[in-house]
Amino acid sequence: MKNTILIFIVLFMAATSSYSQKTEANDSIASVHTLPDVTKMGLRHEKLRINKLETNVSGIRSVISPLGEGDPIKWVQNLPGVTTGADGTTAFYVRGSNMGNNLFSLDGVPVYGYSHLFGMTTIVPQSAMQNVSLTKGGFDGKENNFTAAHLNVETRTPVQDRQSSVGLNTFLFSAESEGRLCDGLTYLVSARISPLTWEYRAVRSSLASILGDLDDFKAGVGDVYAKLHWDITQRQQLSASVMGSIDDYSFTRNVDSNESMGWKNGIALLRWQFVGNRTEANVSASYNYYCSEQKQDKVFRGKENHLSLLSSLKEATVEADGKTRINENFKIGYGAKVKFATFEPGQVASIRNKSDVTLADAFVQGEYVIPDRLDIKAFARINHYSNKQDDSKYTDPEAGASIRWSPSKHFAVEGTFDRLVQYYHTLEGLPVGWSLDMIVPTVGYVAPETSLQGGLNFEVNLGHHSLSVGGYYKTLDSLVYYKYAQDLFSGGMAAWQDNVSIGQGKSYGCELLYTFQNRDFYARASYTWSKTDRSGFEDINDGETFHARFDRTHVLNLFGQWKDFSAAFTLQSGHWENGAPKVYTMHVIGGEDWEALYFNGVNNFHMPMVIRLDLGYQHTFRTGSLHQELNFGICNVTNHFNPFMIYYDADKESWNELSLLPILPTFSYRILF
Amino acid sequence: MYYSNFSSLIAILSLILFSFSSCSKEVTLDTGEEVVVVECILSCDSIQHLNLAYTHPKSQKAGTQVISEAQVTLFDETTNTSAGTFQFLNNSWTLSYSAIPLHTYRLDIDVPGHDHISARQTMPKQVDIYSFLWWIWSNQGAIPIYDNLDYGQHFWGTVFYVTDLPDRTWISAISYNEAKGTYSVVDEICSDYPYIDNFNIMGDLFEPIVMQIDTCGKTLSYTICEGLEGQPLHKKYLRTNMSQTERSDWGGYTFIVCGSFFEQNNPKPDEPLGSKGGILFTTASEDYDRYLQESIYYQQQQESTDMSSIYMRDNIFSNIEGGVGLFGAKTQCLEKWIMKDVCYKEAGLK
Repeated sequence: MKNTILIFIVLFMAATSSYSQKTEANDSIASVHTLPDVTKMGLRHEKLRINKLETNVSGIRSVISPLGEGDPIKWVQNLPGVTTGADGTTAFYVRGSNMGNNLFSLDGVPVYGYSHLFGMTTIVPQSAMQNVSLTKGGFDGKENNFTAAHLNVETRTPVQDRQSSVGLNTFLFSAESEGRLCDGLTYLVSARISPLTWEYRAVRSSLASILGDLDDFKAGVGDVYAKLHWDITQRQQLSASVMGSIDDYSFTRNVDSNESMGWKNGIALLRWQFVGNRTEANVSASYNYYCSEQKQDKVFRGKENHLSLLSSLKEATVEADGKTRINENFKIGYGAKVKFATFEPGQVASIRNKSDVTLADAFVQGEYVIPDRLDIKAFARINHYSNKQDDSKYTDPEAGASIRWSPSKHFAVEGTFDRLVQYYHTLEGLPVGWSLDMIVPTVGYVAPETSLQGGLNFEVNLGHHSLSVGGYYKTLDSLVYYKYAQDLFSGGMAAWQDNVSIGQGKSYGCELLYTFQNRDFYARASYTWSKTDRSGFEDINDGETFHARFDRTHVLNLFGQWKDFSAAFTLQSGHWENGAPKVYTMHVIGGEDWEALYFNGVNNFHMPMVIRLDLGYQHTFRTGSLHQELNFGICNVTNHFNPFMIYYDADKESWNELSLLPILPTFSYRILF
Repeated sequence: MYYSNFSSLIAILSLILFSFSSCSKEVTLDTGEEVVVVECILSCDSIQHLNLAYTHPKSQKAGTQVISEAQVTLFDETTNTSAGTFQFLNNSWTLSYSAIPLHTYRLDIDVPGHDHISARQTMPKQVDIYSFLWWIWSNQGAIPIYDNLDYGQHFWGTVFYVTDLPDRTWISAISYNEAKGTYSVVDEICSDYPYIDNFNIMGDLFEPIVMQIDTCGKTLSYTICEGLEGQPLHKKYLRTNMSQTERSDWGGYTFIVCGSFFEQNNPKPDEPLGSKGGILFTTASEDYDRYLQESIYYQQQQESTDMSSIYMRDNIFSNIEGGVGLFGAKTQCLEKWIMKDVCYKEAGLK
């Protein structure tokens, strides 16, 4: 109750200190106007509504993060309807869904292992980004195979003038180049590599007490992105892009231990676009490879443990879609897509768990628009899914509709309805954003996940102020709960089918988003009140209802930027953990005894509130022909302890909370020439 | 001081984040009331055992608090007769009774100061396992040794034969240490029985063991379980599961079981599991099987990391109404895994 009151006080202060704004905001800070095109993305361009929030790279850049530069997920984590996992990581949950129910895409191509650097950032470099959007409701018909939210990153069209940049931040070196190759053909190349191994070696001796017997840590972390863009005619464009990333961590702890883990992504996309007077068309083909790996050779308490666990997903997609304007107010969209995917989750020894799946869908969408008055949109899609492993087949309809009515230029009301289906399941583990969670396909006894969601929102726009308030109600079905997913280095993953439980979820809540913007000052407040539960899992809590793990009742995020200075504050109810204060002794075959933990419920322990204040300073300046960007920041200024899990410490014989993010100075620097 | 996988990773991450402060803090959990723990696995043995205790705080060094005052009865619901009342003797509850395969039993427990506790369980069927010695394994299958003239480079040991091995049969190798007089479960095991599921799969593959033996004045080199080459090794236990596999041409199977039998303490070459050891086939009731899957997983977590508590998200399976624990049932069969020195001449070979 005390926490509730405190949150409401802060919320009240935030809401009353500044009231209302306009929905679409352009932040024009004078200092950036002297910069060339490539840095003019320093102009913030945002379109923030409760259901769909969009920003350009400037909005991403202004986020204060442990890496020293913002990324799409850190931006998303400050928005209404979104809760976070471990503080400082890329884990995020939208409107009561699981993390694996989100779709993260790059130019529409799903990115399955999107986290980088132990979950501190994402694999998409800032220099490649144009716009980022998060859609939570009122979806388009084009995208499918998710049930929570769609986070899409659009990449930039390379500029004509040749430009290059190099940069570094706390944990990454980067280099980027772009320009014209020949008439109409431009390129963009970006590469990043982490100096983490060298940083470790530099501080190893001085941090010996923290590292214990950790002997040899190596991190192979990096990514490359390349894009070719060809303006065939004024109306036709062709682009080809590739993206590759690697996260590979290994360490030893004395002679008896050698462990490694990591994940990789490889994405290739070829896209043709046509923009006519009445018709727009897109045709694309893409290939996507994602794999994660865990290896272990160690002796613990005299017993040997060996494991090599590999999971992979290969996906090839062909799609075509278009829009045709029927008349001044009405346009129709249509499209079809076919995905061929091969899953090999939990490969251990000779076990491959191979599944070849096909997902084909077709959609049609209608949109009726009276500018500044009315926007009605509806889509219907049919999906057909088949899995050769067990010959399972599913045909599922999806549908969505939204209506937005603006009786005046200061006020709008929006209603949405969506039914979504998802065929790929993520067996979720530790909420730290490491892309080690296994992705498995729908099979006969693990049906597709579905969500049904409705929402109603109101918007008020008054000059510099904008206020959006909305509510949603959502049900989730065929949710997958994997008992051992928190495990690392376990061959149990090979038998994932035997250990999943299927159930339902429910979430409802209210969301508030307020923004204020003038020439020098930008402020944003977002607040979410929500309740989320899980039920019907036969093996969990006897099928009874329990809190979703990240059922955070209150989530408040404040962000302010005055000229070059910025500050972010977050206040969130604690999430739920399993606390087992008691134990009892049991036996297995052979008579060996062991100590079982006794839980008096599932997710029965309420963790402390998350409180964090971050401060940042961004400065852009010119030295001769060089343009330079400098960011300083401090994350968790108050060094507040924000635990994300509890565990039993056998040495101390006590239960302990564990947190990740202490007070942390951050830094990034980029030079353009 | 040792670090677990996870605490090492956290240490690395803390390093990455230039941690200047502790990332761990003690927390007090509400211990709540004590809960009665029941553990009883019915078998065909002549005496049934039952453990009755209370849950206790994890930090309590005294350990399990045994309940000695209670009324514990076993009732055979199939015949509608009482099987008897458990007696508390020598810090343990026992009942002289042999459970009957396929019968359903009800356990009733009344502990003063607690609600009535009960559980039901049906005994699984008894499984007949046939084991054959003096057989060798060749590409043509299991054949008697005296039919094979090519003596080298082949399996020499035990082949098992079953006409019906039900689901939920757990196969483990029990090693008997004659010096200490103790039993233990052998760490690694594998089999070519076709209905073994992926439970406890380790990641390593079986490599046949090449051994030499002096017989009839000759030194013979031979390979143990060559037919198992490439089979995945499981940690301690194999579990049968036909539910996800089509049962084709079912008419009985011959199969071999092997593992790290020869890595025990000074095993005799011809009795790697000791004179009282062997391959243990345990057919578990449905509840006992579910309990075993979960408990073995978590037990092994405790053996491999000191932060196993983070992996547990719920109680292990319990079928005790009014308490926690398990009322299970099993049938068992221990078959010797014996290698005998054999002489060509004695076997009638040239």
